[in-house]
Amino acid sequence: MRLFEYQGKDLLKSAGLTVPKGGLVASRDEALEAMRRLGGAMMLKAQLRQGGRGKAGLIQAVESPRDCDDVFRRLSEATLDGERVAAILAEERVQAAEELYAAVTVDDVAGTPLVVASRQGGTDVEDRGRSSAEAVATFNVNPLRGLRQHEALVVGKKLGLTGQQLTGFARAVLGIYKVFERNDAILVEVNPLLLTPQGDFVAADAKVEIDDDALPRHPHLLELRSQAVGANEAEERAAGKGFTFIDLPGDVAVLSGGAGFTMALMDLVEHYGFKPANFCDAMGGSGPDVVADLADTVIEKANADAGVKAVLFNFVISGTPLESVVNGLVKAFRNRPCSKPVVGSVRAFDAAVKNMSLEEGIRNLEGLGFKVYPEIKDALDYLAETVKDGRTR
Amino acid sequence: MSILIDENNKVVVQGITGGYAQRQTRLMLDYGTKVVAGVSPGKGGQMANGVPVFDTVQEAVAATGANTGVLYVPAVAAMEAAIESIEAGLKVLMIATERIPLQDSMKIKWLARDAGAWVVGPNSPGVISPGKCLLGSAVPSVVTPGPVGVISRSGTLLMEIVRYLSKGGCGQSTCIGIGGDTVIGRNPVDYLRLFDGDPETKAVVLLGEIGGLKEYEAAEFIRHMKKPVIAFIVGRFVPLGRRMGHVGAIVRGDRDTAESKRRALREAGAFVADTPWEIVELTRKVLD
Repeated sequence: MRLFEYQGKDLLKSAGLTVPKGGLVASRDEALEAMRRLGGAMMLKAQLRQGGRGKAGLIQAVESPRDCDDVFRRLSEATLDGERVAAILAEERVQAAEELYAAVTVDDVAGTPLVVASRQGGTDVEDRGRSSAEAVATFNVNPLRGLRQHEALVVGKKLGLTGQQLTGFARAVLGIYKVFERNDAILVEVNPLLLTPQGDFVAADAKVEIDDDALPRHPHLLELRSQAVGANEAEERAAGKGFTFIDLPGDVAVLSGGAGFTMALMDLVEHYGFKPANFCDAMGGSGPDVVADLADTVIEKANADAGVKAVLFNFVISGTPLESVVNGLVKAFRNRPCSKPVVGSVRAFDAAVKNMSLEEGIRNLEGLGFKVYPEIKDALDYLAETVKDGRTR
Repeated sequence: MSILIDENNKVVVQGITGGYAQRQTRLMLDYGTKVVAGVSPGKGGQMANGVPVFDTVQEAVAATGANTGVLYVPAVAAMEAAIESIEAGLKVLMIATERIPLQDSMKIKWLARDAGAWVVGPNSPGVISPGKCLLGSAVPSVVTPGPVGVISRSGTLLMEIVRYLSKGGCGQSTCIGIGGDTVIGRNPVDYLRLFDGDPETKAVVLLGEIGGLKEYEAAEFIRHMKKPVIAFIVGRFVPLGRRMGHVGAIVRGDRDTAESKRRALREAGAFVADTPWEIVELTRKVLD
């Protein structure tokens, strides 16, 4: 779950970091009032879950009441790649002698938290980091004992910081790590981390992403999720029902379980000259209701999207009972008939066929009008022959 | 020979009284795996699938000599259970549980490393050395004994590719679902090292995905391997920056892409397949 900047800053503040003074403004009057309080000039920052706000002009300095009015109105109506602005943050403008970068993320190879820091913060930090590796300092944290003060100092020294700047920077990095650890984050990024002319460090931005799998033990963070806006409706619904659905522009809808083979299936769809219209995945051991919900989402997509020419299904199951999958599909396709041809393959082994044989499962699916092939390759060959030539209904 | 598991593994199942775990235990017993104990706190003294149940792993080890663990404990309690198994001295622990918080997985990985234990997973479908031992539910009905080692991040992909390999006459030494999560007990490179040292394994099939950088670590090792590696990376047409079913498949930056990984593996000397059936063709070629 990605937090908004203002939510991330609350977490940073509670871990001892300095953040700019300010708060959310819900109306033009509130924005004007904030401007008076903050000394006549301030920043207005659109709150979105994705990056790239600065480049899109959604972070603006305002210096007059008229400015404030214009910018507030523009930001409240703005969208970025389809995501609507959720709120507007008004903040004091902080003088900076230097813009640094500091983050904690996960190193998937070492299996540790990773501190990443640079003297060159700002909007292009990734590009600059690549062009001059020495500008970026990294440190793998032992997850069993967390980041120690002396380790944060080493990171600062690698960046060439000395004296009070060094100790101030180490304090900021320790605070960022604390936010990462306390909240089960997978990313806490402060960019820029401003160094003021007075020698203080101020977190001017906050990108925080929480591990969804850890949300059950953070009820206060779970509440923040209800503030989510602008996400794809079908995708959100899927997340609430225990499966993943990602809407894509394509001509073959995919109905499948198991993330790995689904991705392979999408690659095959492309290999055959089509484009997958979605990604989907249900957890192992899913019951018929989850399968039915997943199937219903795919049928809805296939029926509503004129670009979708067919539904390609593939189920390979061993742990999940076959009847869970078959009954789920029967329920979904009876309830909402699919207007596009449904073609694919199903294989079941071991524990999956205790209560329903594969032959019986296939008969049930054929009863729904599915074209069931022994191998997915046969189904793809069929699609290539029929759908491509526009010979389907 | 095989790697990690063979006829000598004596298995304790953590969370054995759950419905899913019971089905999996049945499957392991049917395959001939020596499941000697189960653990379920508060249910010590009962039997499950004909296997004695203990309150703690330590008791199970003391009473039965178990040296290998399979873990089906729900995500919220999985780290406690894993620590218990590691501290009880189990040398191999397969964690099937999905959706374990990432910070817990990092702790499990490092505790196991310090204790010299080998953790497979989390989010692993299992491990199988055909004809010898099965942990979890990984593909017993599609394997055949033979010279190919198989490493996969995904369960369904493992099942399908192993089935194709068996049909194509390429039997397997050991097949491993290493786990689909961002952080796992052992990385692909660790399994490659074992396979390279296993006299029975003649070639290795590595099944990877978009997301994460573990395939680069593997590629560095493949450069120096004695045995050929056939690699297949899925997710070539998955859009950037979106969350897939596996947390580890979040694409961040160019190096996370399937295409970039395929290039690195090819440059390291691996044979890179474009389709599942090409994996079989390439494997047959290197075995001849």
